[in-house]
Amino acid sequence: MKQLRKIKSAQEQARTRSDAQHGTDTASQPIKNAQVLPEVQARIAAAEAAIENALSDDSVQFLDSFVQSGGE
Amino acid sequence: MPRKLIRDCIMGCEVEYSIPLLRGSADEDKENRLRAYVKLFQSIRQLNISVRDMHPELGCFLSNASNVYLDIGLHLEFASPEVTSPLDVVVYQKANERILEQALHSCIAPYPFSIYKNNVDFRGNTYGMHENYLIDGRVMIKDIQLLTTFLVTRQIFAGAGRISFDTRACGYELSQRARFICREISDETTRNRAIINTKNEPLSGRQYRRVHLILGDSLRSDLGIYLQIGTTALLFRLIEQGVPVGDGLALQEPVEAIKELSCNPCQQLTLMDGRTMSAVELQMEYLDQALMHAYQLPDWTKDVLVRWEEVLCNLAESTDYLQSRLDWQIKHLMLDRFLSRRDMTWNDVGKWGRLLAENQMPLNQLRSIPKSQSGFSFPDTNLSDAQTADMFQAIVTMLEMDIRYHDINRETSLFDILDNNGLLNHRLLSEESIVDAMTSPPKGTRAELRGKVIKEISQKHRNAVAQWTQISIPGVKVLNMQDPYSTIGVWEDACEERVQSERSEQPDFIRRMMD
Repeated sequence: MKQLRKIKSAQEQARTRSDAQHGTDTASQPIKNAQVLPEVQARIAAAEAAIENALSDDSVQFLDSFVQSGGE
Repeated sequence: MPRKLIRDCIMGCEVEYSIPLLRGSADEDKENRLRAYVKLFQSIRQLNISVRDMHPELGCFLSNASNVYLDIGLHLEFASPEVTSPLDVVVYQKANERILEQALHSCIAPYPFSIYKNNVDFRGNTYGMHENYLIDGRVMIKDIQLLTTFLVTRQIFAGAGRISFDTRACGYELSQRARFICREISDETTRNRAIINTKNEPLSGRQYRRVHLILGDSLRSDLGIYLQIGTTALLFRLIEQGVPVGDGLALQEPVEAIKELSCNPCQQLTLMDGRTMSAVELQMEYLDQALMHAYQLPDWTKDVLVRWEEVLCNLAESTDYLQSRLDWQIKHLMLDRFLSRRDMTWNDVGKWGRLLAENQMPLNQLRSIPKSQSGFSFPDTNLSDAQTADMFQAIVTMLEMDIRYHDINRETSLFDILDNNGLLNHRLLSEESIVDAMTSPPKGTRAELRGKVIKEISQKHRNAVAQWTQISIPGVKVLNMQDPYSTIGVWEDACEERVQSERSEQPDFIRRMMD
């Protein structure tokens, strides 16, 4: 229960912050910019290059061909 | 008086995959997509020990006791075997992704195609991920409704994330499925989708109810899947025992709340008694009640409770801890970096995304029309034609990234690229456990028996057919598996007429393609 009380207190703080930021980019509120270490930055750069390679030459054609039928 | 639990809770998932052909939509037709599916299906059967599904012609049960088949809308559906822990649900989802990836690599189709584990295209067509929980048949729908608020709010850790065109969102929302939920209760799956689906097809005796939830997202993160299934399964364990978990937490507008929350995770939700609470606070209430009854729960729930608390605590504190662990946060961060490199904002994404999504014209035609002649009100009239074209290109690239995140091919999947570059911390499984689950069934349910029998008979009896509760060798013998907990079975004499009648339903066009 001690842990839960700690969480409840954190919730109160989060709510205060949330109230203060009301009306801003709410979807990204839980995401803060972290301080990034150089080796992590290198991994991010490598991932971004690989992502660039993985994308199609023509995103428009990709999206047009992706239209699906409803399922279930 | 608390009810005694019957047995372990059996659980499982049915995942619908999208299989687009990698070419222009103008050339794509149903028959070509079906051809691709047939090739993929043949590849799955060549690479794996399997027995044909008794019902859909293009379907089979594998030696890991999973079922794969062609479903409505030409989606490939992969149903996991019956398991008794959420970690096993993760193992079999991952193993089945690998089976598809392997089949994709060895498949030679007339047109190349990919396989995606997501739930929506950018035009607003949806396909599902259905969760199944086998519980005590005496549990009533009104008892299950105690979990409505939990199900509405669990998207804060179980959302796949997506670029959003909703005016309430700011370019991004938590859940792929939330906006397709329009009822609190319903037994339908292709329309009038509900928070609680009342379909009850236990595929076992009447003493059981198979709860079938259709509101969840298909996830890539191990931790996300584990918590999505684990928290839900443990609350069902409490409901089965008569614990009124969630009592007093009913929302005034649950259907509206699930959409609002998807667009704004900090949204305050109004309860029936007039109080307002955030999703994290409501989840904390459920967690609190589960902790009070933890002594009544099976061993596997201890780890779920710890991780659930850890995730809620981090959500409450808005830390960056979950940016490498939960799908909606991983994807958001990936797209956020893309935006910041281009000096764009999420507001741009929302505005421009709406323009593209609301117009039904193929994007290929839309981009070729000069801005001045398009007849559309572009969101930012101050931009030149060249700047407009750049913005258009950035938005369609982001929409592609949103989909590519869910690719099951690890070489091209953006999720796997991030993972393989050491940027994610979502994993709960060893490589060995995933590889083993590609060919071996889980222990402790009839899936163990199904997998064992499929291995034994698939070579010798190529005409054998299976369904969830039975395996048949036509004209020879039948193995009934009505008891979901039984790992042993007795073969009986076959009823040939029934099997023949099933085979006669095979459509001609599929027979032709199979030849």
